[in-house]
Amino acid sequence: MGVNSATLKRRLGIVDAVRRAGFVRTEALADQFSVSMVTIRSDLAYLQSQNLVIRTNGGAQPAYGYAVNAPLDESPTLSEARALARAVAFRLQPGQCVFLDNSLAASFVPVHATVANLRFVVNSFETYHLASRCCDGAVSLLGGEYDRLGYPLVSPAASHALSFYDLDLAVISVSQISKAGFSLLDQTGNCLEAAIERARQVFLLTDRLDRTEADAPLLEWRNTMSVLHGGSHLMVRCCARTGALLAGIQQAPNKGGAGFCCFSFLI
Amino acid sequence: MASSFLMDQTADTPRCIVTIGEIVVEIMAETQGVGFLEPLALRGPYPSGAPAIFIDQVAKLGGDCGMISAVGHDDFGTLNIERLKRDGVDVSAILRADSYSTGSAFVRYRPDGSRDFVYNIRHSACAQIGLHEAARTLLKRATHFHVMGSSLFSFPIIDAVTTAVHQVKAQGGTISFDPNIRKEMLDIPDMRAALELMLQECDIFLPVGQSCCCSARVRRRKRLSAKSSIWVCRKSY
Repeated sequence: MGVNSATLKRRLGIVDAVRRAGFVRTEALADQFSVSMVTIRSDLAYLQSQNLVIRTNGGAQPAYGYAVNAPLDESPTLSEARALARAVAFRLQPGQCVFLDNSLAASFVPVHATVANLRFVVNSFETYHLASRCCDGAVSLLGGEYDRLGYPLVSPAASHALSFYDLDLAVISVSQISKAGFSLLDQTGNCLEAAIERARQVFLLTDRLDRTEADAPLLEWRNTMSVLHGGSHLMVRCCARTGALLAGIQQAPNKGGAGFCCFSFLI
Repeated sequence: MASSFLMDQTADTPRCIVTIGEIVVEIMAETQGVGFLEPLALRGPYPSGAPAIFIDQVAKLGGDCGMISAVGHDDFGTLNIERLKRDGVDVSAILRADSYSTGSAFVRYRPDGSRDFVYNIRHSACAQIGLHEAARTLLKRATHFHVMGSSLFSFPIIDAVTTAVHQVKAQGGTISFDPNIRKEMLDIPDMRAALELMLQECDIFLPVGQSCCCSARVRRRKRLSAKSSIWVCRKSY
């Protein structure tokens, strides 16, 4: 009963390859392990049944329980970014139009998104290329002016282009959170504030709740905002293979007079 | 059990032994017999689980050690963690899993000394064992990693064990492997293949009794050269 050691070894290698790359095509796995596509599809079906990978059209990506077996040499920044991206992807609804800033965590969201008919709106070439390769949905590049590395410069063109999209969600990484407000991690382009203004819902991503930076410009809280955060002491909670990423909900104190609530999701 | 893996190390070499695997409570039938097909008087719970027993003994011998595992938010889990902590085991990498019970093993001795088991492991908190951040932190200081064959009961755990083995070896550490096979485990998918893989990866091999014979058949069939540099055959008990 069960498989032979060569098959087991290959499946372990596939999990490791998917884990390291974030997304791998079936053809690439067949080449890497010198087996047929049929064999790889069978292996991926088995690994999905074990909740280690998620099969997407043409390949596979790590499943939600990924953090449990993350590569041991992965930097904390990368693993935290992946965890935040998974937390966002888990909350996406079919057919949503989602704006992504240029942070690492936001750029990984398309890698982990599995719901259908999404549209991602981005404003950097790097995020555009990653999203185009990893998801089946549409990806829109806002345009405007870019530097030599492909990062957007401040220009009204991107904000104007944003007005053509009916944003359901804006995914924005923040560097500082306080009762007074928050500051943006991604300082490229000026369309981030426009995206926050236009989106029905805003996810603010941070790996720490206690980081503060003096003199950082703060943006005000809105009732459309939710904070997703993870830190080292919370990674244990997100490792449960039940798939329940929401470990608890804390209600931040209401800002006087504004009449809104900010919910904080522990991932 | 001789600490043969320490032969090449000096007394001053910092050592940390880590293992991964199931933590269970053991509940014993008070009378000998065959199986659990009738009401019995039972005794327990006792803290148990082969890797937990192993690492507890390492701690009692004064070794720096830790364990990667998972228990439920229940008294059975508390019983085990408190025992290990009291004896000096680093328990920071033992997850308290929501919505799962701590694993259990009901055991009854037959008159000939053999045992019958009823396990609740694969669908207990043990199924949540994995390389979360606390586990990775513990593994970073491991100089030796012990694999218990009974812990290879699901593919995700085999994946975690294999990753840990490779990590410890990359750090210059050593691997020991005790197949610890029970007849109730032989029908677990992937286990036989995983036992073969661990046999290829380990530096010290510690079979007992019938598992020694099974391993010998594996080696002859695979024509393995002595990848495992040390075999330590122990008497069954």
